[in-house]
Amino acid sequence: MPFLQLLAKKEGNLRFLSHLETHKMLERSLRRAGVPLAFSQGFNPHPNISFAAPLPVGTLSDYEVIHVELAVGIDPGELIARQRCCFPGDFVLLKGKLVEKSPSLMKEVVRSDYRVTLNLSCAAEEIEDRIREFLNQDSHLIRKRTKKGRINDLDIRPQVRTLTYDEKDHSIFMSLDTGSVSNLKPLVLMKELFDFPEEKLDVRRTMLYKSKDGELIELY
Amino acid sequence: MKPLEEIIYLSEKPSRYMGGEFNQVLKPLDGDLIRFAFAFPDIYEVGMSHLGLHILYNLLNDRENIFCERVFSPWVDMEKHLKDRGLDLFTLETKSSLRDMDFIGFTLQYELSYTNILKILELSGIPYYAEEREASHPLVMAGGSCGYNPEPLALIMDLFVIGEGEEITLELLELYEALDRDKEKFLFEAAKIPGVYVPKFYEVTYDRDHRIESFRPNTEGIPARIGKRIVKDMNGVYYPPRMIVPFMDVVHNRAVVEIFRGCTAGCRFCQAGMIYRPVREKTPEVIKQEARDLIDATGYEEISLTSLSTLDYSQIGPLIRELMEEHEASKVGISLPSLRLDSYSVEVLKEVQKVRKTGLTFAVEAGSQRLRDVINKGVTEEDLYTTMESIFSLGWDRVKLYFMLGLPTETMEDVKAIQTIGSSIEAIYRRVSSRKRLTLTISTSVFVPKPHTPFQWEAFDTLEALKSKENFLKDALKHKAFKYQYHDPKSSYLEGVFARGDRRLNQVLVRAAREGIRFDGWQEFFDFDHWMAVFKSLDIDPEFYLRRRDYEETLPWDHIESGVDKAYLIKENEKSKNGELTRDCRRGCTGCGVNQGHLGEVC
Ligand code: SF4
Repeated sequence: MPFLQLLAKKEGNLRFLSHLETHKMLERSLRRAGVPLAFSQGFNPHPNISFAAPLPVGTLSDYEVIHVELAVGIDPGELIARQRCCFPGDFVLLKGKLVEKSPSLMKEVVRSDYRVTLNLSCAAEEIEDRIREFLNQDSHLIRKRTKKGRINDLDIRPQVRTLTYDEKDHSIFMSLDTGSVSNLKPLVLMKELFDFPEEKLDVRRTMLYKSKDGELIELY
Repeated sequence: MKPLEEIIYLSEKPSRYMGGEFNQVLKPLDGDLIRFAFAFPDIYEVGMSHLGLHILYNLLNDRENIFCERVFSPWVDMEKHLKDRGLDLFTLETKSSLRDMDFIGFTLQYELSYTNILKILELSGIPYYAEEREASHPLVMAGGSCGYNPEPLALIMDLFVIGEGEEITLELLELYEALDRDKEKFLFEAAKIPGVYVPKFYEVTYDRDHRIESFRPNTEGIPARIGKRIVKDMNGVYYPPRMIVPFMDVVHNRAVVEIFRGCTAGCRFCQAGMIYRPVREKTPEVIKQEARDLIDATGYEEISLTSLSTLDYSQIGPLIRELMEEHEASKVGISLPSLRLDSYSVEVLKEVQKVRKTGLTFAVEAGSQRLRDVINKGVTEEDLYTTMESIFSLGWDRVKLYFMLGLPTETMEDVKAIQTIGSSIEAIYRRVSSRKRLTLTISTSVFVPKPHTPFQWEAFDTLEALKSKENFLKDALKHKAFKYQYHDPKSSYLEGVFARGDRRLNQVLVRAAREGIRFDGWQEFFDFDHWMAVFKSLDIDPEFYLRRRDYEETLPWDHIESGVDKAYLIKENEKSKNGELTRDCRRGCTGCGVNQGHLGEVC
């Protein structure tokens, strides 16, 4: 059955939704829009919807990639055009297309870009010094609890591909490894770098990448 | 993030406070709007599952000049954030303080939420007592089933709405506008509208034993008694074509269609069964249209057909069949809140099962036939056992049965009968089913005598007796197929005090709130000893409110009329003593009186 691939933005208070809540919100929006979802068999039929690299609570996003399995094909352009009937205001569909079958979205993602806007005062030099210091290291170990509860050392330095400060809008741009092979969350890095309270940071995902023939390309 | 967003982010569950759900209403805040906060004195998950909220919210917001927003009790983490930062509690829609409202409307669903009402006022910087509030403060009103005994909150509320709120709430807001929003004038005029109770216009005196000596209006032109309001035409009444769709998983997350109001069964313990009389049904056409609209507008995957006793709907079979047919393709399921113990229920279940297997719960209420006759619960052992046999052979393995402890005249024999029922059902399961997966949940709650019922004069059972009854069942139901759920009798004790309380309890609530008591409905916060200390410090004996009362005594809620005659309640109480049954009044009127007087010909 055909899959609908969507690119969406998550704005405003919707950043507070957990991944599960976002998932349910999308399912109900699609139902309201009358999109013919394909359902699993059994007593509790559920649709097949997946997100690339689920966002942590609190994060805004310019780049949500979603796959939805359909019972029959639809015209994605038409759905995008009338989306305001059915989606919460802060969830905006940007693009849509039909794809044949769903590769596992999560497996494809290798990297994400984030912009972290700082809602607190801190001198530019101080921030830049800290960033330089970090980037000049060969490795930077953090303690990480594994799923099984063991504590491991993890080197996050190689996971950070870009890290810059932008004085103009008092924000930090970062490009980080994402996915099942190597994964680093923006707030984990921020915590290593600074002791800013989380609630003073506006984190926004700006891009997701996959790799094709050794090159990084946009996921959507 | 702005300061409020920061604490929303830091809270345990941000989606309780963020607002912005689909079908939320926003309006530009200009000076002309009448601003109304619908306040639910419990957390978001509970409040958003309450049908009355969705009805009133949309009804008010469909009026151009009214803006209704929502506010819930903040959970304790949010309460702390607000206090630490000196911020006011806020509405979900525009994050406004309740002090910016014209009205705050509380819904009273259970007595143990009363301290949460005071906490909401406190976190908004609004004085608890009505007489301490000024013209700049919002008017504080309340409605809902607990409002049938408004007295424990009479000094806190400016106004109560008695009965169904659809028509009267709009009338009140129109009056407010017509009187140029003059709050004093408004209260005086409102007090004359049928269904409105403005406590400050009534004076109560007590005798030496604290019994009520007199209760009367203290102002010319104020009616002595307040009759409830009902909607006569359920097919014409407003029903919301949309409902807010919560982001988080709330208690009931589904489209809800109310199919009728009232109940004819006449169970003697049941307040809802008395105060919501008479029965008024919607037609199947209206129900199907409302279901269709709600599914389109919400995207829900389930429709719940709600009422006090859904299977008593006169055309329930065809209705369910047609709804299932219509919604099968989009995999929308139908759910029924409660089931009757009879073969008809089993027929209906077979239909519903085709799409989705729902959990099965049945209210048996009492273990022995004798006691079921006392409470007029028309269920026999045979009904129970044949129903169980059919549902087990249809493939169900999980059943939950509800009982009450502490009913009038109850003895240990009646409690033991609950165990007997458990074992018999287990034996039936073994006989008819080859599966070995039975989970029989037996749940007991504690009977609390409620105003406007035939048992309103009865005593609350003692804590010691209730404890030993629970302990007996804990032991008796130790079998791997059984699960026993029970209720802390101490919280029912407090519920009982407030259910039949009088005006003197206002000071108890205020003292409790000042001492930080709230969330009494939540086991982790309920502090019985603290409550007893509060009563003691005010020299008020809680037992006074739990005692048996004479028919002659003036009850604190006697000025409120549910439409059911006191004489009828007395007759029912007398019949209960002999275990005499009263038939379901669908099969012929039993003369409760609701069709007489101001409600007119309604049955
Ligand atoms: S007046 Fe008669 S039919 Fe109507 S609710 Fe009362 S008992 Fe039932």
